Amino acid sequence: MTEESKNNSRLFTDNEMDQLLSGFYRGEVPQALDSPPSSWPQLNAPLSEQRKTAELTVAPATATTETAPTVNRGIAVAVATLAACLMVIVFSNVNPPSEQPGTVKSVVEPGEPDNQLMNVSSDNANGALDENQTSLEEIDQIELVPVAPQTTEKDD
Amino acid sequence: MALEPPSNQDSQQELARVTETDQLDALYKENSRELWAIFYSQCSDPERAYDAVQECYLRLHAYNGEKIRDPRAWLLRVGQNWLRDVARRKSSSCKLSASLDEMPNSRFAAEDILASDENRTAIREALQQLLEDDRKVLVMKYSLSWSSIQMAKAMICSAAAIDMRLSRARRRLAELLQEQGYDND
Repeated sequence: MTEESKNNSRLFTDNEMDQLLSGFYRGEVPQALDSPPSSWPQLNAPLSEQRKTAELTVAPATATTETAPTVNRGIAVAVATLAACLMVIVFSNVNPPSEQPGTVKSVVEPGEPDNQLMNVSSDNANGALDENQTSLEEIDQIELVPVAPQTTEKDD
Repeated sequence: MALEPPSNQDSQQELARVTETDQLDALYKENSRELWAIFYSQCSDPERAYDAVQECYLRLHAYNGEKIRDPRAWLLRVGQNWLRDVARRKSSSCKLSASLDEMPNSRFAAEDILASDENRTAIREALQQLLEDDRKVLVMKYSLSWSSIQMAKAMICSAAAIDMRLSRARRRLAELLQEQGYDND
């Protein structure tokens, strides 16, 4: 805006300002402002209307279904926690405390009988190890006698 | 579906509800225009000020707390807080131009409507440069048609001070419009 145009536009008189502002504010006020709403929202409907709604959309289980998921979830969490505790107790009883993880254990095949293992012990070095009285005691002067080959019927 | 006749307790509640609605209607008629004017003087947006009016009455309708001693002050506070929240959010919602919507059925030419719209925008911009109290007295004078005494009571000052503020606000607004090159012919 130039200075010349500023000078050309004259200042409003009081009367003109009155008319201008009256017209301006008359247009600014929303038309719906003066009339209250035809109906207020039914936030607190009376009991009779609530009963009517309940009869039209009867859903007796609605009240329980709202709380059921919460109850079921709580029960499920409790059962899972109990099961986890039981598993921890069972495993701690099965594994003796002496067996620490990382210790070397003899590996036994599932189908292998136990009597194939040799009972070797320093305390029982002179004792019999099995039913044939086999022992680990060292015996000197063992004579080794060659065994004559057995003849077969073909030789005869 | 047949309904049971309302019991005594139900009828009492319905009566209380009707009374409450009537009170709400009366409160709306009594205060809505003044509230709009005050909100408008704060935001200079007629639609937003109207939204604030509706919002505060809706909250009053849904209010279930302690008894409100001064409903007007309560409504004013709620509406002002709502306006403040909206301004903080700086919502940039797309607004339709009401004047353009009315064009097909309007008896005025489109150029006249747009020129009028531009003039209104210019006045709004000039009003926004005034002090809030100056805008308040202008809107009370020209929108509510309040007397100086009524305004003085609302703004807790003397009527002479209101007259002085009104005169000063008008003069300042005229200067601002002249600076903008507002066409007053």
